[in-house]
Amino acid sequence: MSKDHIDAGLLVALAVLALLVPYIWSGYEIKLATTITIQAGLAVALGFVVGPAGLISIGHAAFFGLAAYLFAMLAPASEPANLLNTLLLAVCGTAVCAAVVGAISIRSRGLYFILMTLAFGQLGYHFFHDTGIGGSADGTYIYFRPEVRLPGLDISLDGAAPFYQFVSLVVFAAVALVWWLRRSAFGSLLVAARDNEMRIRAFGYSPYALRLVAFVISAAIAGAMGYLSAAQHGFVAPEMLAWHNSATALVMVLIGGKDTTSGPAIGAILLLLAEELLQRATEHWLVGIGLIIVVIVIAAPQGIVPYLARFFPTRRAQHA
Amino acid sequence: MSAFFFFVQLLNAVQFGLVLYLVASGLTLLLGIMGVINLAHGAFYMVGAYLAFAVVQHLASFWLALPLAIVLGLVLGALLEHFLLARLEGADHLSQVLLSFGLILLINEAQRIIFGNDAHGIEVPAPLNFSIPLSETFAYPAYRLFVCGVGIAFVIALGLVMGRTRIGMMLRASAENRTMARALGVDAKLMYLGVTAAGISCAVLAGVIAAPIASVYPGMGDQVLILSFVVIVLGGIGSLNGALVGALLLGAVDAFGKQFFPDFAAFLVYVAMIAVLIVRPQGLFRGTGA
Amino acid sequence: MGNRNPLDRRSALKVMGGASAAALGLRAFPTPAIAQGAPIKVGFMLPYTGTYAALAKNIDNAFRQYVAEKGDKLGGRAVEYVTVDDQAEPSKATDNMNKLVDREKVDVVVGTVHSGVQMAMVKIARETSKLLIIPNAGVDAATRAACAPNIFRSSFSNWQPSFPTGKVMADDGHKAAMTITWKYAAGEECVAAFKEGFGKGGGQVVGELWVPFPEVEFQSFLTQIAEKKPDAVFAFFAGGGAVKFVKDYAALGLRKSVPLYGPGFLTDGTLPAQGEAAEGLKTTLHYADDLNNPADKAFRAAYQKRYNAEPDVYSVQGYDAAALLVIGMDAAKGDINAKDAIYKAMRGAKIDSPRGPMTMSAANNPIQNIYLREVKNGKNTYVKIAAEALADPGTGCRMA
Repeated sequence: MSKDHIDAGLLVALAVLALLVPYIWSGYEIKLATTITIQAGLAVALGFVVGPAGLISIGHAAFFGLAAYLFAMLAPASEPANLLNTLLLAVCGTAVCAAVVGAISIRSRGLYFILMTLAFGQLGYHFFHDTGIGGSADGTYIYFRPEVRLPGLDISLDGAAPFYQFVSLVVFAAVALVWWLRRSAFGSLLVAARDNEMRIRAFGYSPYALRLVAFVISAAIAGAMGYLSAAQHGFVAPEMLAWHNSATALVMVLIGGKDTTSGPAIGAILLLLAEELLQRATEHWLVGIGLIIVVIVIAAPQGIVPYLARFFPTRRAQHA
Repeated sequence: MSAFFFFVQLLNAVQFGLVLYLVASGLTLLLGIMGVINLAHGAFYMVGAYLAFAVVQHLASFWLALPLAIVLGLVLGALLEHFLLARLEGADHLSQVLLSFGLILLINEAQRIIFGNDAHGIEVPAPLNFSIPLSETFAYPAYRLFVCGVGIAFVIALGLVMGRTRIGMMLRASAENRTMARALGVDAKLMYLGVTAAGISCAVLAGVIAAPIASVYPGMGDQVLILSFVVIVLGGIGSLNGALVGALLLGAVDAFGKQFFPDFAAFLVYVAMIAVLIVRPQGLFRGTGA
Repeated sequence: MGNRNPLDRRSALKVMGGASAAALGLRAFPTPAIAQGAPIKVGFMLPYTGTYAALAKNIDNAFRQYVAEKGDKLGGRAVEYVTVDDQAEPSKATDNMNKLVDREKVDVVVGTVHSGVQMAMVKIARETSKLLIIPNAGVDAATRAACAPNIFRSSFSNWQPSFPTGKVMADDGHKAAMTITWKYAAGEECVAAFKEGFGKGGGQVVGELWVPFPEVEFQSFLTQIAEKKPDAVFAFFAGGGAVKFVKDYAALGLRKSVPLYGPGFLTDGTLPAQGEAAEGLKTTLHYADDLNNPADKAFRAAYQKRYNAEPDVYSVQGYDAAALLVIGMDAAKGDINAKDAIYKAMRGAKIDSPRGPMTMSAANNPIQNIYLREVKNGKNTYVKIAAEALADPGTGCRMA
């Protein structure tokens, strides 16, 4: 079986699992599952630029947080917000900012790009932390969960289970989008631009434009995840944009592997489950996380999903 | 603003900047000469501060912490290079970012296990425990002036080593063109070991020196880390002179920014960083890039 | 780097098997016994790590001390404690509160210190009607706009200790003052209360300095104070920040030229670390180290004996939080579901607290004396009552 087949298989398995969750679990576990699903979406979005586009962004949490803040600022104080409208506005606002950030940053390569994304991430953090917009250091609250308003139908997402189902629907759509993009001509061009820039230029394509589009799409998805997170907790704070969160998202991409769609999602699930279990075991659970990261970077930098491909050798190899 | 207080804020800026330079110089060595991004650099600064705290608590002397810091820094740096960084030889920046991030978590948590979660202060060491009156109402702590002195001495020493010694020549050559330097006989393994050890040592030493005027608390390395990156971007990656200029600039932005635009001081720092990356990525001084 | 493959098939299957078992294991929680006679589950949500760790420890210690003094029973039922470390992080507050309410299913939540975290807890307490006792966080809104019958506070509102400071400073003859504090909700509320009190005494605030939270590098700001030379300075910091601020203030020679005042958090629990730098500092707070009323004497002696440490205002707040809970549970005879009885008893509580006489306002905030203290020989010694039986205005509370 090829890596693509494994990838598709894992995505299907995850989708089935997502469907079953509300029937197996309730209460605290569903809220945990919601958090994990949102983080998986963020990781998949980040994996799209780190993998095919070869852009290592250590500022993606800023897009996550920016959309959350946009939602907080759009949400009315005394009644639930219109989910579809505010989600669209938050994501679009984030995409516009991502276009500006990307346009500036993607002109740099390698280390300089990383430092640019770090700088923009910090810029975003300090914008919300220092200037007093959106409650400054304390953050701000959203007192009502947004509701879905369709013509003739109002769907409230106040319960943990319906909210989870909505979140998994959105994340599923986002992941499907990334999967389709990776397998499309656009995805191939991105990979080609990453591996051999000159040749792609010779064909008349602009690597800069390709990467910029990928960056904006990825940031928009990250923003959607931030919106969902704000809707889940009813709270936004500058910490959402902190570089630690960007680095953690990168860790999720690392654990699962950046060359498949499902990899980062698997990485997110594994990392957050490990966190949850370690937290119950010891007060010093961060040691466990730190060790996991160090070990994986050294021993398995390609991530877990590519290893799975080895257990299912291709037909060709078997008949070698 | 009166001239007198302008001078005082300038002094604040220089003192802040010199401590930052001590940390950033280590980062410059690692990034400029070895091309390694080390996010854990701030964590080693914290190690220095806690080392000072432990030495003061158990050995009742602050000054002992200084040589201990240098030794501990060299040892930790050598271990870091030999066991972790060497395995990443040839790997991309993503691996370095993630490895050093994992290290931050490990070092921070190790600190909590050993020292607990409280914030601590360290008394300014005895011979310097006074303030120099600058006017009838205002005095300046002698220890902060001492820190400035140490910083200046460090700048001079580092400058001499890099400019006038064989080792310095090899380091500068490797920063310019690693492959060529190796072809000319520079022993890569030994040099990497030495550079990492020296770089980490700078951070640990900075932590010790800053400890009496900073607070000693968990996670204190984070802010210093990010500011160090700003410093080397402003000054030019791989340039020690640039790091000095960048650090002093940041010190000025901190001291004067908090006076004239307190809400935007930090924000402006990152605007400046981005501006430099756009317009002159090699930094205000000519850096080597990596 | 060689392409070693340390993760072979067998170990990978083990890892996957373990992970799925763990995932299913998440379901296997012991469901709490609902029958009467089962222990009451008290959930602490406090910043056991970070800059406020000492405060969390003192609150926790004193709470348990009070319950132990009452025979370790709440309304005749045994007590079980659960703790969650909120790290003073507002961004994790909702998750942490959910851990206590949803996962551990505690009967009452006691917490917290940081006002930002507190508001998340208040929000969830309002939504779930869970009994919440606040042992420190002074965020005004918790007993004003966001008040609720199931939310009680055993500490203070940010307004209470800082309003009298203004009057004290005005009475001392100061006309022009500067303020300095962290830029966050608690800092803003303290400064607003101070301005109100100082203005009533005829004073004027000539400059406000805001330090980014939680920075402790004050040099630039202190230089600004020296330059502006106000009559006096009002400063609010707590914990490690308070230690550093007072020491830095003294190191610049400002103690002699620009008198420093503040709410008592500037000097509570921090005097040993501040040392000489804090001598003579005047602060206002609902507690002092030598109140010497009978309840205080007994409390301090018992605390010393039990924990081998000096108690402080945070310990008193934890102690009185337990007192409130015991009053409520005794009135309901241990039935945690008899909410009306519990709330009525707690609202009407008259507590002979180590801090002096304490009653509750209609918004569930303490009505208490605010004392003027001066640091003498490393202790916050009582000078006089700065404001007697001061009640928070409770503006915007629908219960008040």
